[in-house]
Amino acid sequence: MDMATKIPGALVAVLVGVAGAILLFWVLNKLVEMLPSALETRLKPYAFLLPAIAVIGTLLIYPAITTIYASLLNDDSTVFVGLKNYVRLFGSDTFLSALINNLMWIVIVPATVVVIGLLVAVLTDRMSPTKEKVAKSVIFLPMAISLVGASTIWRFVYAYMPDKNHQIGLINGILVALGGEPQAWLQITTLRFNTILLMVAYIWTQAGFAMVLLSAAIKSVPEDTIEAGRIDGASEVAVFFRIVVPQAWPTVVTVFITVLIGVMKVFDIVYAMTNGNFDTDVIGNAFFNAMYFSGDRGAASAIVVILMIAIVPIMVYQVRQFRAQEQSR
Amino acid sequence: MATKGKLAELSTQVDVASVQKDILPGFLNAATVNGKVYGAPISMNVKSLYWYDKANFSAAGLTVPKTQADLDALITKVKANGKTPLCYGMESGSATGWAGTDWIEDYMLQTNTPEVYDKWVSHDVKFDSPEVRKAFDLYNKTIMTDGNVFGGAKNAASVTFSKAFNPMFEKDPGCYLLKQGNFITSFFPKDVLANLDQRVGVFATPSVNGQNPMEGGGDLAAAFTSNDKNVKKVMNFLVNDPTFGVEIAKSGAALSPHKSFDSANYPNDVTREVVKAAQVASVFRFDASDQMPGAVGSKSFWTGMVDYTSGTKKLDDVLTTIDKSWPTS
Repeated sequence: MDMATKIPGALVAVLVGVAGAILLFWVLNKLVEMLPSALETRLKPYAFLLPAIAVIGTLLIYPAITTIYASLLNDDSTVFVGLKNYVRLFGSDTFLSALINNLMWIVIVPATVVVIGLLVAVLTDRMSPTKEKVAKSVIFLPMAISLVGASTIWRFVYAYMPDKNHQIGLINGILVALGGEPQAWLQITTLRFNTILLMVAYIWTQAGFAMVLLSAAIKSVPEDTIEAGRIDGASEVAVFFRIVVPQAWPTVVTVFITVLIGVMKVFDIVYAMTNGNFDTDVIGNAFFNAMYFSGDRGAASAIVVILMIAIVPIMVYQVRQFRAQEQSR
Repeated sequence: MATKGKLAELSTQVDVASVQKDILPGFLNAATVNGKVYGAPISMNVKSLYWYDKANFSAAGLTVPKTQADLDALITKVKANGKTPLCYGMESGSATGWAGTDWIEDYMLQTNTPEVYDKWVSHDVKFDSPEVRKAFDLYNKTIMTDGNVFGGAKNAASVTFSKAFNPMFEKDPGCYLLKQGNFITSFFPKDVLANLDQRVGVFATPSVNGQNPMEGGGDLAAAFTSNDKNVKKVMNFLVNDPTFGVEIAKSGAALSPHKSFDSANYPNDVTREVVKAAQVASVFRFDASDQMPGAVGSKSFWTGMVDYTSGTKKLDDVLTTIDKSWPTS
């Protein structure tokens, strides 16, 4: 299909979608209005919630329940095996290694993203408007690249050839030009260095996102509070840590948790760069391989359930944090 | 599909004996279930091949090795001259490792009988068995001995299979031999491809046990119905008509599985050499990893080769991990 047919097609789709939604709510509304008025007022909110609940139910809750059930079945979901899949996973070195890697991603990536985002936000805040725009655009740019695209770029950065004349990798190219020996970067497992190299690629894609939100938060810190601090003789560092950061804190937490949830589900970068080889596997990639390479639905479901259980506390924390913010307003 | 009774036996379509006579011994094994033949080969590719740069090879005073002892002598000679004998790359994105499985499959055929190979494919011979260990030991000796592979075998998992041979074609070559299937020529550098016959030589895997088996693959044709006139016509054309495959052969995309096929149809001498190497083979076997369950053949066997070659895991660990990954049902 060419663009000329795609654009009208997309417009029609949008129109039909919106009109359909309006029609649906209108019909539901009419139906409720036909009821006695006491019942009408009580049921009306539910009538409007119904479509949303139906969608979440079929696309989220129902699959979640079947996944939990499938994690208790064998590889083609025909025989009940109890907790065997979980026992097998926690007895496997490769899965435990993936858990350790996920833990590393969780500890390192969100904090680094927030720190870099905050740093860039503060520094660009002190530039002239034009320079600030250019600097921010450049740092935001990787956000526009898909994670697989970013992986391809970073694979070229880390690429390795044994021959000195044929380095196509950026780092090895520089290293050889300076007289060094090329290194197979993604194979360096000492202190899981290769996992950290994968994180660099991910941080590169996420720093822009953090910067934009944190920059907005810093700019909305009331100028008079900062001035009051300066008049009271606070140093720039003190102004930043005691006045700016506390007022931008809700945004910092939001960015941190958003990145944290993204990191827990990390898959694309690992799949496209190492496919979990050399001890770089993570839960997301382990799931994909169990499901689509090994065809083991039981193990794949069990991996996802473990991931789900791990994410729930963070979601709960985020919702609480959100409520607390709403109340303080 | 054959086990579920969905396919018609080949004998209902064509004369099996005449097909059998005209193809490599053992080719029909891949299409035989419980002693009944269901499919006939219509194309072929071969993998037990070594490639070399003719000019560099003769300049170093090397001759084509006929036996493993010859190959060992060649390796010693090259190393004595301060050079590296082999190029090897097993990086292939998320399929990294398959190049390693080809080595093991080749050596499985070379160190064991074809019957043992078949039992290995069906897991009646385990990975952790004396038979498979023989193949791994030979792989270890040839590949993982210090100085045998350009850049070191440890780093082979970071070297892209489609670029690994580049140093072989240099004036001051990084290596003298590359082991790969016949499809690898399409990845050769443009200037090499332009003069393929003048620049590139090829020979079959040097014999280990006096036999010269050939590992490869191919497409099989099978019929769903046993008594449809038109289906029989198509099957006969695909399997017996000497004009079928001519166009495919001319394009160099695939080889004909038939001994009677006119090799003048192939685009160059290198391809004719490859076919000759296949036709003198004592026995033909399909790529084992392609026949194993996906969890092994396109997952744990691949990662096992990566872990073993890169030195991440010891052989015992690699073999038991692969055995454990074999689907139980």
